[in-house]
Amino acid sequence: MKVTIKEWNAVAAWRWDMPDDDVCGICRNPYDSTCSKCKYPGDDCPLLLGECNHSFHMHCIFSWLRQEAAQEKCPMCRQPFKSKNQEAETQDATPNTSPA
Amino acid sequence: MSSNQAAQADKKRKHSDRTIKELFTSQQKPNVSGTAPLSPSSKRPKLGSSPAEAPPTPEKAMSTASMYHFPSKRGNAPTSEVIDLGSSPDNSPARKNGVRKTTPNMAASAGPKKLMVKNFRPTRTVDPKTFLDQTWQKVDAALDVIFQQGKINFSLEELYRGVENICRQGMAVEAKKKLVAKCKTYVDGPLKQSVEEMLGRQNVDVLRATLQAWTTWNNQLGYIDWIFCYLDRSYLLPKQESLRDITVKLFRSIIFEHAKLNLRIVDGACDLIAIDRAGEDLDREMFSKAVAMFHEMQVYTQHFEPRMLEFSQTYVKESADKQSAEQSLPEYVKSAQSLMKSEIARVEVFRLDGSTKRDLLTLLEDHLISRKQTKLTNQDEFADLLEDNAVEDLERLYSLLERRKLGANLRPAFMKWIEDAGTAIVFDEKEQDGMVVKLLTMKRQLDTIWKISFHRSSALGHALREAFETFMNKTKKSGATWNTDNSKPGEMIAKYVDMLLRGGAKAIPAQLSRKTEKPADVEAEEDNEDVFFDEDTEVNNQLDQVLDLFRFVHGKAVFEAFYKKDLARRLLMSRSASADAERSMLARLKTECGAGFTANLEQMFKDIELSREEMSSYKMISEERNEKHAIDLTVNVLSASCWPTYPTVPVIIPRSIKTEIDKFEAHYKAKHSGRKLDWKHSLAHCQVKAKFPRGNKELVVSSFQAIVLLLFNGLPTDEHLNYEYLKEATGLPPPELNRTLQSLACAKLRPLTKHPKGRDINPTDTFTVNANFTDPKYRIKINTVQLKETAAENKETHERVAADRNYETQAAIVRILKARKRITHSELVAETIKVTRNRGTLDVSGIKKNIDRLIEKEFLEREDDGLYAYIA
Ligand SMILES: [Zn+2]
Ligand SMILES: [Zn+2]
Ligand SMILES: [Zn+2]
Repeated sequence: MKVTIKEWNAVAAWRWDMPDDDVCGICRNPYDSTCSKCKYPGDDCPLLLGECNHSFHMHCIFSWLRQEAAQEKCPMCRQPFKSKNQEAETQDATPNTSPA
Repeated sequence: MSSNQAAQADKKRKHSDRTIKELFTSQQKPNVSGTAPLSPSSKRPKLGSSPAEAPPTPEKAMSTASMYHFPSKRGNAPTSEVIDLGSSPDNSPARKNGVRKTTPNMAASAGPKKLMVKNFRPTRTVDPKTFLDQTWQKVDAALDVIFQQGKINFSLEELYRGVENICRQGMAVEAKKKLVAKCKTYVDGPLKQSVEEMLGRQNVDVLRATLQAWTTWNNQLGYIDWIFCYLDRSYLLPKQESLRDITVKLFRSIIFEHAKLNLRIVDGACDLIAIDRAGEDLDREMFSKAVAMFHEMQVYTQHFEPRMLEFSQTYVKESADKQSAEQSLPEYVKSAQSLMKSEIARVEVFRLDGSTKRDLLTLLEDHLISRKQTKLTNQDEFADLLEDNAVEDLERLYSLLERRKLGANLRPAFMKWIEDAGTAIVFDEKEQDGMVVKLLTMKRQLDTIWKISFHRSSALGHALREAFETFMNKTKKSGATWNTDNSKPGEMIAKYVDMLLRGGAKAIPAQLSRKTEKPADVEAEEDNEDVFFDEDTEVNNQLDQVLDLFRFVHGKAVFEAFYKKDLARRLLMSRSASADAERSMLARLKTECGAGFTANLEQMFKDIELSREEMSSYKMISEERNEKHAIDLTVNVLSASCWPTYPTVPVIIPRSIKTEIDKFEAHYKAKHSGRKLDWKHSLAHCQVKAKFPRGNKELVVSSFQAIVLLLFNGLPTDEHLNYEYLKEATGLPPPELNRTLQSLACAKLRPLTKHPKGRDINPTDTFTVNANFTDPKYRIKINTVQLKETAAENKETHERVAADRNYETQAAIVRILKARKRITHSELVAETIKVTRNRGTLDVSGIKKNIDRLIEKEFLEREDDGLYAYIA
């Protein structure tokens, strides 16, 4: 018998590549899920990794940093919070639809 | 006839050619001769003898002016006694016009009286008493003839004038007394005797004799009225009396009200009804006459009606008792209806009084309906009708009850039957697959019964829905739900919807398809009159019906879990029959359960959409880079939290495929930084080209099936691969490997052959290519194994839903305590049930367990007074 694969319909589930914790330190929701305000996970509600290596839902950390009492510090380690990869953040912040 | 016309006709007649004498003596008066003379009183409007029937006047109408010449003319008239006597302006023929009261020149009026007195003076010298006696002798003799019904050999006119004269001489009182005494003797004598003779016989015979006597008496009164007309008008009328009244009263008091006769006569009429009720021949004429007589004697209401109703009551009560005891419910309803119909029809045919009809109807309804409620709402017999879907019998039953506004009393029996029948369907563990079809069939039948039989009664409509809600939400820890108390209907409804969405219109079970509906049913469902349906309408119509069932299910979590799993399969395997139907179902669920319920489902659709875009962008980039792909790869990337959870099954992916997958993953990671992909190979499927000895085929297979088939690539048909080798080479865990091998070598279509043959896979088995594999179709789907839910999967879903229910309950308890701070145990339980109803409630002991768990976790504490308090 001769067998050839013509078409392969694969299925994959994406998740955030997070080394440590699996929940956002601010909203306590899993990274794979959304912040407490969003409905759809993924591009609509991306994550943000700090230089201190703490990650949050982008919406969560933004609203945290907007508070004056936060003094622009990471809520986990109290170091000044800076995004590790500015470019990636902006890319993820906009809903990603294919150019086609 | 108006009074004017009457008066005119009256006057015309006075100018007739013939003298009044001629008129009277000629005996030609049609109304007097013959057997039924009309009495003047009989010409009263009530009895309908119209003046037009009076002998026509030969002359044409005279002018009013000429009529008024009459008195002056008479001044020159001869003084003959006869003419003088008769020349009273109120002379007799006038009374043929009947309406005495309205004739202007009545004896009672003053003018003519004066004239009369003038005329009398010179001629009358006879002693009035002597005159009375002489005249009365003649009258008396005539009355004897009349009473004996002998030949009329006397001049009515002469007698009339005699009586007139008696009256004119002021002896009307005596005349009346004499007449009454004479009549009384007759009525009390021979006439009564004719009836009394029948006393020894049947009531009906007594009645018949009475009617005969009544007819005789009325005929005789015709003559008496003629003779005593003047008395009637000039003497009785002003005293508000009438001959008619007096003579009728005589008959009534002497014969009808006679102690021995009265009840016999009335009962005679009632017996006629009894004869009719017994189905024998009713003497209709006799009954009509009896009723007429009762009316004329004015005894209908006092004597006949109460007696007739009394008999009817006994009769109706007896038949109601007998029939309700002997007959089945639908038979009894029919009997009751037909009894009411025939009783009322009789009343109508004989035009009995409205009061009789009303009272009869009341007693019919009382005995047949109100007092037989127990029979009419009997649980068992009513259940039989529902069981048989006896729409018409049920309609009759409801209509009967509704006469007394008792239709709603069917409610308990209606609900009981629905609950029993529904519970039997829901917990029929052997036929779980047929549950939804059976429920839909039952619902449809009951809806029709509600619409047609129960006239859309709102009370019974509520009952129907309540009963469905009750049994649909009954839970039982059973094998069907892996000993969870999950709602089985929720699961089965989800699966039924899946079947519809996969199969489209052709998946609709025959018994539910509108095409097979009886025309009568279609007519009944006014809201859907269109008999021709396209497929989408068919499917949508089915979805509506299923949703109608789904609405009754309180705990939606079970449905959601299964619906989500099935939707995932349809999306990932491209098994939806219609994208429109999918969307319309989603919209329905959104309306029914809210946006929160459908958010995850919407994301699933969105993931598929995004993946399609992702793939086309990926392919464009590949083309730009001029990359060659050995395999056409498509990837669906899921947002895991919105999809069902799938276990990751270890499997060794063939190199050629692995290469393609890795390329895509690299592309994806580059595009979406910070993301990783977990490959769900158990969900993958593929198309394979296979060259079998008996021909080339294209197979649609699961990824695991493809991986196994690839191991046979290039092997001769007689080369065996053993189980252990296949296990090593695929890396699949035995349960998965066994399922895959079974689907390839033991199902209907077998690309592989198992050695030895048999349904179960054993570690000692070996496999070869099936050299005889063939099929009429070129493209063959053998991945159905992937589409089917396994028992383990079903168990897992049920257990997860049950576990989730505990988490949801805990979350609800915490929310309630946050809001209320302190709360009693019973309040907390009640509130928890209330807020978790939509997802699925735990029983009270389950809620209590979760409260205890939360106390352990220190979310709340039990205070000394027994109240729970929230720990912030
Ligand atoms: Zn967050
Ligand atoms: Zn968000
Ligand atoms: Zn930090």
